[in-house]
This record gives sequence, structure tokens and C-alpha cells, in this order.
Amino acid sequence: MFEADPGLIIWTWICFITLVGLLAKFAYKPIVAMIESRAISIKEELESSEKARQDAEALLVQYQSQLDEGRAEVQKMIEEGRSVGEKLKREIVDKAAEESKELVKKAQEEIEREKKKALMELQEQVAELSVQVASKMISETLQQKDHEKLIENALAQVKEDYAKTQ
Amino acid sequence: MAEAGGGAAIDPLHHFEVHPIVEFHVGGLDLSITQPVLWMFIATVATFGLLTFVAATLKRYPKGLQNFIEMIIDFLREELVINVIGKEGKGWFPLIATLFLFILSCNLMGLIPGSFTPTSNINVTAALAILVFFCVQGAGIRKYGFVGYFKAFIPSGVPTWILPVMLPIEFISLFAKPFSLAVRLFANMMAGHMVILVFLSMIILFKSVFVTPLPVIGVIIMYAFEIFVALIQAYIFSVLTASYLSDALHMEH
Repeated sequence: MFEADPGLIIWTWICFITLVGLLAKFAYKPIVAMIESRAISIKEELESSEKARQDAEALLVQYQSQLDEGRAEVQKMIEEGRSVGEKLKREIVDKAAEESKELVKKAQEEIEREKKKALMELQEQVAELSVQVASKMISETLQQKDHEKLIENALAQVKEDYAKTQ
Repeated sequence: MAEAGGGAAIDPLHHFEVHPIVEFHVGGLDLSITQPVLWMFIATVATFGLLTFVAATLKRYPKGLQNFIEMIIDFLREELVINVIGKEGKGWFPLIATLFLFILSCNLMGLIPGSFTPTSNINVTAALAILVFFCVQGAGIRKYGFVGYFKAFIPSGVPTWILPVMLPIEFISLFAKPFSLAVRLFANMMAGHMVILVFLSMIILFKSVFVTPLPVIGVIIMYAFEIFVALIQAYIFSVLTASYLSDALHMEH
């Protein structure tokens, strides 16, 4: 057991050195290459997923701010529309009230004018009739009765005309 | 000495005697295939077969056996080589990994009933230790040159009068390293088997059915412990090799 055995030593070397050579070529090289390539790909995947996450977050923030902006804009537009509508409404109502007042005023003036005109016409007719009566009285010698009759006629005529104008 | 079952004494060392199975002589050298040589062959072929099988059927998404082997390889590479020696130790990875795997499989061979543990023979462990010794010196000489490497054994600033004391100590420690490597592995592997054999001898010695369960339980416990020792000793041998290589490659410290 303790005696030196050169044969065994040499066999050990042969076995071990052969095994080192064979394993280095056929086992370690491919296995280590696989481990390393996998480690690299895992690292890359982690990095790319991290980048994707950051991109997504940035995008989310951007969208959020856009949404907020849009919301504020819409709010502003609604506000503006409301105030414009309010103003318009007021304007229309004011204008309508003014116009109606104007119309009423015009109509009254018209009535007044017509009334004046009618009275003037009446006066003219009365004068004309008076002239006619006077001329008839002058041109013809009339009897009392005729005079009375004439005046009555003339008055009836006036009454009739006046009734017509009223 | 006494024959098995003779009752007087059973020699557990008998198990460790080396017998040639196939006689084979080259010149004056006895290269006979003995039991340790045979089991070393088996261990070598088994290790090579297992690893090349895994390497030949590598999958991008590992499972089962590939996962297990990759874990061992990665552990040896990261923890033993890169952590202990550093990046420049990558070239020594095949040596250190093979030391671990070879010693482990040789140790585990001993757990097969009727087998012979190659690493329980001092010649096998000495052969590995001598190989490691030359690799370590070679690594140092290659990096620092022959003169530079051996000059580094004397730290600068050491007073001259202390050299006669220091040089023999350095010299002894140089050879004590491989010696301790060889003896540690051999002694551990032999002792474990010896304990198992002693337990088994007890069954024969006491010749009693009532005592038998005790040694059987002892053997079972020792067997479990031996698996652990097989792993630990393989690890110790390879981690010490890595650390010796690291020392030889970092002489400036």
C-alpha cells in the first residue's frame, strides 16, 4: 500500500492527461461557450426589456400630458363657446327689443300723420264747401226757405263727410 | 494474517493490497493492469462519457443532467478559477476542472461494492500531486522567468543573516504543498473505507444476529458520509491547486 509503484503512477498520468485533453476539447469548450453565449443573450434581453420599459414609461408620460392638454383645450373651447353664445343671445334680445320699440314708434307717428292729414283734408273740404255755399248765395237770389234748405244741405253734407273720415 | 471468518482477527488493510489483473511489462517497468488501474480506467471513461454526452446534446434551454453538469462547470470556472486565480487563470481551467472531476469519480468508484478506490492508493494521489507541482512551477517560471521566479521566494528587504533560516523553510514549504495534497486525499479515502471495513468485520467477529444491526447502521451512515467526503476531498484538491497556481502567478504579493 505504501510501496512505490511506478507503473501505477505512470497509468495515473496517462489517464489524467488524456482526460484533460479530451475534456478540454470535447466537453469544456462547448459547455463553456454555451454558458457564456447564454449569459450574453440573457444580459442583452434584460437590457432590451429594460429599455423597452423605459420607452413605454416615457410614452405614457407623453400621452398623459397630451391628454391633459387636450382636456384643458376642450374645457377652454366650451367656456369660450358658452360666453360667445351668451353675448350673442344678449345682443339679439337687445336688438329685437330696440327694433320693436322703433316699430311701435314709427306706427304711432304714421297714425299721427294720417290723422293730421285727414283733418287738414276735412278743413279744406269745409272751406271749399263754405266757398261754394257763399257763391251759390251770391249768384242766386234765394228765398229764406231756400237759404235754410241750402244751409241744411250743406251741414248734412259736412256731417256725412265727417262721419266718413271718422 | 488470519483468513476471513477465522474468528481471531481480520485485517482491514488486506483490502488495499494491489494485485495485478493483467501482467504487462515494458522494459524493466511493471505496467501491469492492477485493480486501481482498472477502476481508474472505468472512472476516466465514465467521466469522459458523461461530459461528452452532455456537451454533444447541449440545449439552449438546459434541464436535468445538462443543468447539473453546467452548474458544476460554471462553479469550477467562476469560484475555483476566476475567483481564486483571476482572469489570467482561465487557461488553467481544464486542469483544475479535470482534477475535480477525475478525483471525484475515482472517489465515487470506491462506493461500488467490490471495487477498488484508486485514490486510496498513495501512488495515484502522489502522481496527481507531482503533476500539480510541475504545473505550478511551470506557470511561475513562464510568467516571471526562471531566475525571476525563484528570486521572488526571497522577499526584498529581508536582512541577509536571516536567509540561511528562510531559504530552507521556503524550500521545505515548496515540497510540503504537493506532499500534503497527496497524503490528504489518500488518507481520507483510505480511512473512510477502512471504517466501513471495520464495521463489516464486526459482523463476522461477533457472530451474533443481535449485534449485527449495529454495524449495518454504522456502515449505512459511513456510506452516506463517504459520498460527502468524496465530494469534499475532490473540491479541496482542486481548490488548493488553484490557490497554489494563484500564488505562483502573483509573486509580487
